[in-house]
Amino acid sequence: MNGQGGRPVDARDSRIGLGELAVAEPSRLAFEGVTKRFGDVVAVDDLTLEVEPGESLVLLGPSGCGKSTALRIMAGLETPTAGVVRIGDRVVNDVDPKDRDVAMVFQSYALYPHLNVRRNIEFPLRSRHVPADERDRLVATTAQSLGLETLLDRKPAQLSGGQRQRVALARAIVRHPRAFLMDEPLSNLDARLRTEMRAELAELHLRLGVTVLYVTHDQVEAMTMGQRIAILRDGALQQVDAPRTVHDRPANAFVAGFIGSPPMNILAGRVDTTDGTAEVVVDGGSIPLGPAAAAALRQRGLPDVTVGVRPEHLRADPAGTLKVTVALAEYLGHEQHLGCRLPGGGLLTVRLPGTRSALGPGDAVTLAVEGDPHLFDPVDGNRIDV
Amino acid sequence: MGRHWGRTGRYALLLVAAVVVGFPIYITVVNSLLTPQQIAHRPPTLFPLHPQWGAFAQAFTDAHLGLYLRNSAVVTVSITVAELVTSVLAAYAFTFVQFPFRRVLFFVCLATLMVPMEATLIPNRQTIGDFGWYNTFPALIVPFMASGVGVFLLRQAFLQLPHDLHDAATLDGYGHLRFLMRVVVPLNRPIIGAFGVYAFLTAWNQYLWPLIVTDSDSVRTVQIGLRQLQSLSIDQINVIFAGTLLAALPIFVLLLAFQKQLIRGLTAGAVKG
Amino acid sequence: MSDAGLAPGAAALGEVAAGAARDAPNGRRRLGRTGREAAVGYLFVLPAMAIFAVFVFYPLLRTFWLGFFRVAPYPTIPSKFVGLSQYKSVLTSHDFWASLGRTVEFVILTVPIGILLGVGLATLADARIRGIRFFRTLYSSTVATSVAVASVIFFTLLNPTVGLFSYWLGIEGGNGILQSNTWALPAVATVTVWQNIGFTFILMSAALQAIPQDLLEAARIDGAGGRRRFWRVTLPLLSPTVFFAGVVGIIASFQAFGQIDLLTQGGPDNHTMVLIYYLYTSFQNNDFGTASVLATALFFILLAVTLVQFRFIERRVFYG
Repeated sequence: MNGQGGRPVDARDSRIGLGELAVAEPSRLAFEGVTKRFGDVVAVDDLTLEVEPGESLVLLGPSGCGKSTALRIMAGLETPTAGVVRIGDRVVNDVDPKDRDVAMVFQSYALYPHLNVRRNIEFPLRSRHVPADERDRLVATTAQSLGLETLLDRKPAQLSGGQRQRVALARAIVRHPRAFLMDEPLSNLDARLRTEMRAELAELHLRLGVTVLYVTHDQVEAMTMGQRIAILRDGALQQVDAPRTVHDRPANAFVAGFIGSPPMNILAGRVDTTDGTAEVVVDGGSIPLGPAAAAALRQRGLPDVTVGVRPEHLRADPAGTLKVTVALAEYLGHEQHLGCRLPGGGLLTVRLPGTRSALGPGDAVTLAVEGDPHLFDPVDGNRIDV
Repeated sequence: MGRHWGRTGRYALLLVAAVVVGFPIYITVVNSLLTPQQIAHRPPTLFPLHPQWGAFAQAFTDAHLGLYLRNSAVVTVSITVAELVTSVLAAYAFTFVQFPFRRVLFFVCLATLMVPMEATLIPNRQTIGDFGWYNTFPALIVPFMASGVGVFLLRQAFLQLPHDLHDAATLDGYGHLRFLMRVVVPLNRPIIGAFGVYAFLTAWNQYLWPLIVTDSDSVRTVQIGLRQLQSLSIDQINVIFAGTLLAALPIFVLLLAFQKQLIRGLTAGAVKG
Repeated sequence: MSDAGLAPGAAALGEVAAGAARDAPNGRRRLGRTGREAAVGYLFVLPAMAIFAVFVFYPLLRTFWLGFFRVAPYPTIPSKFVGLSQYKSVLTSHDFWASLGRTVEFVILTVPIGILLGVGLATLADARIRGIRFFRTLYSSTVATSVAVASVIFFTLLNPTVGLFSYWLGIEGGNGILQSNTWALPAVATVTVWQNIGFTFILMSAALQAIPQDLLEAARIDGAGGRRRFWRVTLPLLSPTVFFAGVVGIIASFQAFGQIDLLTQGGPDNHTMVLIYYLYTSFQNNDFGTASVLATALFFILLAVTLVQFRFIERRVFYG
């Protein structure tokens, strides 16, 4: 098993043989125009997406957006109503899950309750008729690399959440699959454990060099786990890009509002280029536009536009252009969130570092916007490029 | 009943009830150990001072009870195994396999619970005749190789399994049959055992059907054998009692060994909580 | 898992066909995955379905059908199709109504008493006192007896010449209980009740033990005495089981056969000629037409019983 297409063993790695666990041949995963209908409901809408070999791609979106369905289609647990699914170069629409050579980690781990940890891990090997001594070796190395060697004789009911998750991972890894499919594996863990496991999973991906398709509704998780993020809404792909790109250049208003915590402020506005300066008039005042932004808007000739401003790009400034009233103030230690009421009733979230301001509910405040706002078409929500 | 009876009062009642419930069996045991003369003796003998064990051997061989017990065993075990297999398979399919008309077919299985044996008696007897199965084991076994109760009960149990367990097994390379044998069945042993006990008991106690499709000693079951036994003359009355005990003995033993399953099986679905 | 079974049959079939046809780039497999899955499903349910088809549904329909044919007393004369007239004649006959009456009488004699005894014994034995296990085992013991075992025992004990019970009842030497017009049916009922005690006891005991202790404790704290607790807490919580025992009991007593066959054979003078024994004797006499009509009647009676019980009585049952 040594060095079979995997990364070389890191001599400084104290955990045994992770390099040995490198997969045989990480595969490319592809959705080509995949649609899935359940009766009248369209769960996945013409999805075209590729996961490069060895890449970790996150499917992100709110509940019901079709990400889990897409994952299950890749696993073979659902058949697409239309479209082609590929693993490597092979079309796998008609291939049974067990023949696809992919491993899946479930949200609930799906461990076999009547089997102990050892038998859970070796379960996939038994069905493939791996000889006994080879099987034992694989189980031992996998268990050891995930810190499970002392738990091999326990049953799942006797394990903690984090341990169960590791067993689920071990079961997936032991098969050396072409790709890993993960369905919200961290959702059932408490916050602290989740942070720990996130780091471990990321590290695991690095060491194993596997292809990972990861589903989550938690955008923080998505930003840390994925080399690229694919955002889905109502079954349709909104954007697929690196985390930074998705954050800094969201493809439409939905993505803009979804990524970022606290979420981006989205306002409806009207372009005003009179009296020399370009600005967008919004409820509460206006947002000035730089020359490039102004030019882009002028080119489109749109009077109306949707703007987005991240909470961290707002600051209190007497020379600002937005007049608001503080409705609530949340102090989080390292930063402060202010919920500011606009005259028309809407709420603007402002993120201020530290204890800079002594503002509280009821205070009237003027806000200034740093830099250009994000601009979106008011009708279809798509980004207006500058 | 909820009043404060006091211990003595309760014990007294318990004792009275025990005598009433237990006496028939008690006297059967006693009489099986007496001679016919002792049994006919008045005042009656209520305790065997000099137990005579011969009646049992007589019942076993002369009265053919041994043969009947064997026949019952063959029939009952066959029915139980068959019912378990068909019910497990069907319940599995109704739970984990997607196929058209699945719901309809399940209701069809449930519908069999509404059909009493009497309503199908005559045509079934004709069917047995047509197959040439009169006086054979198949006549006693085949009509009962499936059970609506079993399908219903086991499907209920299988539905309790977390459904991504099947997904996991599918990805781990297990087809339906292997998933059934390696995961579903091991995880449902108690209810399968309970149904097995229930099926065994029901099959063992059948009376009307064996009466109609058999009339030969070679396949006669023990329940119908008791009918023969009952017509023994009075001067073999102790053999009648002994034979009855022999007929009841296997079930006594079985129930003693499988008490838990029995209670589970009898009360499945009946008791809330 | 998506429940494709929810789609109406036609749509589902369409999906099977579509699944089978769809795999353009790699169209080697004729039967798609949906098709293979369906095949497994049908294969697994086939054994049970086959048995049900041959031995439950076909015969049920045929029984209805056979009722349309009057069978001649002589086997050489073929049966004659008479349509509904046989149904009419049998169902309006004195024999039928008499036997129905006997059956109802039998049900009334066995079911309520059986349940009462079951509840009573279960309550009595629901105490953590020394030796209670002995009593509980004893009360359950009749579950090991079959109808035949119980009947043979009682038949022998009621023998007019040497039966112990006959002696105790002071009628030894004369006519036995089972030969008495008035007492035959109650005697058969007694045997039935006795034989059922074990089952009812186990059932009610399990139900009693399923009653959450804290409910009873709360009632005690609220000042409810033993009797009040029983009527207001225990009994309502027992009602689903009582209901179940009632339904099962009524249906079972309509079907009670073995004890009649062994104890009285429908006599004396037809005083224990319940519906199912009337069916049996017709069958034995090769009068399949009448027997089929009776079987049909029995089927619908039992169906009606179940429906009535579920409709009206279930409303009163408290499903905490």
